[in-house]
Amino acid sequence: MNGGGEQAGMPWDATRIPELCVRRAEWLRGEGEASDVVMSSRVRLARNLDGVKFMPRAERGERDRVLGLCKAAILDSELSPRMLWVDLHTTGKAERQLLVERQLISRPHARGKLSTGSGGTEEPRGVAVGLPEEQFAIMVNEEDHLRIQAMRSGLCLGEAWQHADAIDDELDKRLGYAFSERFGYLTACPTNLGTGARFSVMLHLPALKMTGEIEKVRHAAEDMGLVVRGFYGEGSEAFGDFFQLSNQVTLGKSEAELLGVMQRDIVPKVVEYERRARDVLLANRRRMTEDQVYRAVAMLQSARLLTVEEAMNGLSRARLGLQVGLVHGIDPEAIAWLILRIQTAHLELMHPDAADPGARNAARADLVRSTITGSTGS
Amino acid sequence: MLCDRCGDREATIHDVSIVKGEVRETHLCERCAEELQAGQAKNATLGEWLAGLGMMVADAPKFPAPPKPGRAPACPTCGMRFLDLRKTGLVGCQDCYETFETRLTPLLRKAHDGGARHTGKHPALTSKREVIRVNDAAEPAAREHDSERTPETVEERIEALTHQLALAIEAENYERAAQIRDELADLTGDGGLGGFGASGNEPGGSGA
Ligand SMILES: [Zn+2]
Ligand SMILES: [Zn+2]
Repeated sequence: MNGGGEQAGMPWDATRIPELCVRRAEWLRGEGEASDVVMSSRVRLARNLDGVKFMPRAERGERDRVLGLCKAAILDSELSPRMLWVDLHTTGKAERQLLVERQLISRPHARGKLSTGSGGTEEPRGVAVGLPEEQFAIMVNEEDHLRIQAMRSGLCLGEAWQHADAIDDELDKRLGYAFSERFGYLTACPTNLGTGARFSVMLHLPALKMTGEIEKVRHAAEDMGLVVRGFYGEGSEAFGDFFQLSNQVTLGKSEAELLGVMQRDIVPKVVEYERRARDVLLANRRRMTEDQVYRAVAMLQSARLLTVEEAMNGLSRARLGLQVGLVHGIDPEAIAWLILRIQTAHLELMHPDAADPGARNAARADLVRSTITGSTGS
Repeated sequence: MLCDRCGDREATIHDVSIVKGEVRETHLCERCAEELQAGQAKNATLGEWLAGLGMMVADAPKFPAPPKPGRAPACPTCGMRFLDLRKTGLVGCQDCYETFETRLTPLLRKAHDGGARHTGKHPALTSKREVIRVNDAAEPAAREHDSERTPETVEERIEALTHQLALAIEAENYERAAQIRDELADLTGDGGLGGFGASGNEPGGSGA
């Protein structure tokens, strides 16, 4: 995995984070298989170094050493033409929040806290991001020493897996993982044991939400041993009808089995279900559907103050309008990109005057209004 | 009377013991008794065992873990106790899995829909490991893992490669699949023992 002809440049550091604001993230490109429903695919691998205590028991010195070793291994691996490396313990809150919004780090990692509540912002920890596409990110000293994630637009778990798998091999060669024949990759939390792999998709399910069938889907998914979460993972609200679906089981099934079930069985079923709900809405409840979509577009085009929740819900309904042909003239990619740019830290870092919530709501409304300029109606 | 552990089958094994003047009764079905015995830690009594499993939460205060050394051993590597593990949901180090293996197994089965054994990717498939250690003086425990992680036999190597092949095909990575197929052909064709052992600077990693 060397860069070949491509010259691997010096890694970017935290001071370059604000530059990400004007870049589009791969996982929100809005392209690929079933992208009318599946926003993005993501594979995450949990790994720990062999012979080193895990995060809940590692002392400060050990954490420092793990961070140093992993950082060196990652940056030496030439995993990408350019890397962003961020030492999170010396990085400001808005910058860390921006990485959360781009789904490059988890919220606990931004805060430096373990699920047990121990830790804090000074905990030595970091993240590496592959630039320019942001197709992968590697968290160091989160719940596990390493969390490798690869992201793709649309339903594309196979490619995301290949990427994560290749990074995994490269880092294993340099670092050596804790592994046992019986339990597989040894992780801090027993629920990640075995493959340490989570295959997840971000789904846009506005029609199922509007028909009220979303709860049925949620229960069916949970019965199949899947986890359903909101836009920003654990504990987050499903703002704007976006849901994350991922496997719960990691032990006793191979990566191929986990991947195959998600990619070929479960996700296509949910996609089919959402598409059917969209057809039903248009056939049987057209007036109500049009009303919801056009109200959303009118709000996006006219509001002078917008909260994150309002903007997310509006963008979700506008996206539905685009997908079912009720709305024309709006660039679908612009909507996908707005989902990112309306988030708090993105606004804060782009507009230094938008530091308080009131000013941010104004800046958010201005940004949305100036972007959503297309005509509506058929 | 139903079994204390599964609450499902008829209890046929009745155990009465007296600890510090307190009568302790345990009623188990044959299957649960067998499972427990199979995994029982050296010095722990059945009662502690059940308390440890969290199967008898209501009765747990009846079986306080006695502070005698060796009874409810903490992890020798990181000092984690099983109670802490249950409270936080996190282990402290890789050796915790071995230390608490018998207690964790039923919990793992529950969390992983019956899964108890890893069947996926294997790090030994990565050839020519050049491992840097964080602790230069690696503890004995860590060394055990080193020898454990290297497949000892050609059969295991073939099995691991077969898994990897399925995975590559699943991911539609045909280039990789072809490489693995070649390697499999080499292994099944001639002895291939030397090939694997020779590749490593692994501590204790001789082929057969
Ligand atoms: Zn029983
Ligand atoms: Zn331990």
